[in-house]
Amino acid sequence: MHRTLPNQTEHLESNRSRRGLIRDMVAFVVAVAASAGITAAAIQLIRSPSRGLPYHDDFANNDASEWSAYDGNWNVHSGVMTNESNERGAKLVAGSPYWTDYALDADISLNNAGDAGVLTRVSDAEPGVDSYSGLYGGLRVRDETLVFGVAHHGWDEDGRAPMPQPILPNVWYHIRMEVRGCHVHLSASQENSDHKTQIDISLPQCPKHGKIGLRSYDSGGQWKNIRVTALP
Amino acid sequence: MMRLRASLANNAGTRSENPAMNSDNKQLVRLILAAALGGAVGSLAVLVPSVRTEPSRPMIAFIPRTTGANFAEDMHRGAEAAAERAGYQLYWNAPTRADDVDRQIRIAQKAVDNGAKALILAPTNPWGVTTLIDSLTRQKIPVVIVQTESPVPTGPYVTSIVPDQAEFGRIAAERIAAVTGGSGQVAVIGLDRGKPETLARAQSFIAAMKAHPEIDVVAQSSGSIQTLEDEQSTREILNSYPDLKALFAVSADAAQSALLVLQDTKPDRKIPVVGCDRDWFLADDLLNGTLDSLVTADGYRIGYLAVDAALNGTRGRPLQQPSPVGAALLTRQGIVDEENR
Repeated sequence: MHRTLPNQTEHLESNRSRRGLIRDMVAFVVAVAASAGITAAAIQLIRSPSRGLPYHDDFANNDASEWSAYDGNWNVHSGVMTNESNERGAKLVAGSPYWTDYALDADISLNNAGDAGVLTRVSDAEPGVDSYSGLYGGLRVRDETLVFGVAHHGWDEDGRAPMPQPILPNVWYHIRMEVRGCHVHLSASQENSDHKTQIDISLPQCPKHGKIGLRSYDSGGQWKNIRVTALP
Repeated sequence: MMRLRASLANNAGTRSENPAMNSDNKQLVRLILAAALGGAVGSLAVLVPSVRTEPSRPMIAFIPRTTGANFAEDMHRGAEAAAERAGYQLYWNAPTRADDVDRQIRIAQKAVDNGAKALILAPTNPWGVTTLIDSLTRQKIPVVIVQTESPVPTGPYVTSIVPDQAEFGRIAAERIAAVTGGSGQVAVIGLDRGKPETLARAQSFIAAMKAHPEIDVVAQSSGSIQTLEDEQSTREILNSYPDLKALFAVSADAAQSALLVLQDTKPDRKIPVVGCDRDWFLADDLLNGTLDSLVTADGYRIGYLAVDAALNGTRGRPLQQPSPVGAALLTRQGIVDEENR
């Protein structure tokens, strides 16, 4: 009959305990690596600049649930988003905060004096006039121009180009803003017109990523056919 | 997991009878704990750096009447420069309506709740913000009023940095005397009780006009933040006084409305408009000759001095007494010279 001596028992127990410890450590390291990898992949997926692109909102079924309003009186009807208020700097924001280089297309019509347009690379939005970081391009009735500027909770106008004809209320204009790095190309044309008014500008500094938005200043406005496409 | 449960269940009844199996269970639990701990550490190691934000600098809030307009942005630049120099962050925001005192109070209060060490305020209506100012001074938060006189007595926690409003009126009176040749009918437009600086400017203008007895100030009309109301008041004056030789607009809004009405109703008749404050598109109007001149104060200097005063307050020193900022006349030539520079 085989008998285990006390010394042998202790030795076996000690070996077993050491093996257990090594196994626990290996499990710990493997789990650290696996969860770090999975978390990093998830973050990368969520923050991907191409996530959700191309984006299109034609406000079908009067649905605007993706949009967040910061001031203004917004309502959607028959595929058109309208801001009835002539507050200064009313905003409506949607999209991914991680979009970087993209083109935003929209059709816009103004209600009266003031200006209305689109926003790109929006972040830190809150109620208030220029209370966001981002780029604004729009039509301004007061001096009949296409205007572009950068907002960083303040306003820096960086370019304006005269429209060939007076900006008419309740007439549709197509506006397109392309942002690639700190290079911005903004264009606007009246519906059924081939003439494009353009601003092409390279900024020394700019917001690097952000959502899209609709904005009006001292004027109500209407927007439709919002499209965002990634730029290579 | 199923295997673990089965193993635990099988061994539950025999725990005291089989020490080896008991030890196996313990090791299994330890293994699971190690893996779970590893998973948590791995996730946190990636998540924490990705959501960590830079420690923020101390903040001063500047709440103007509106933003995006020239005068406000001049103040903004001056305030930013002073705040940057002192290592402070500037919170800058305004209500979307320049007459929305409730929203302005909410924005100011929120900024203070978020940790602003001092508040600089251009009240949309000075009488509407007295409770806010009283409440902040009770909390020993310095308040600096800009653009218009403080509606409450100044003291260790309240001061104002405002243009010399009387000088606005005097300068405008001299300019109008010069462009009218020292005689004829003139009118003052844009008086707004919600903006006491407009009343002060009109008052000193009328007082200064006493030195020109041939000039008759025939009307003073009220102003409004609503452009259409402003335009209507100006239209009535132009209709009532067809021989009017000049207009003194005591605010930028009033000047802008006057230009729109003149463009609309009297394109063939030249009525010089002397405006106040370099705001909106008035510099463009000066350049193209539709506006005669502007009486202006240096917005950059006001913004800079306001932050400087507020910083003194945050360091526990009593705020300095209000000191007026001088005004100057800006003509087309002045704008041309500026652009050349």
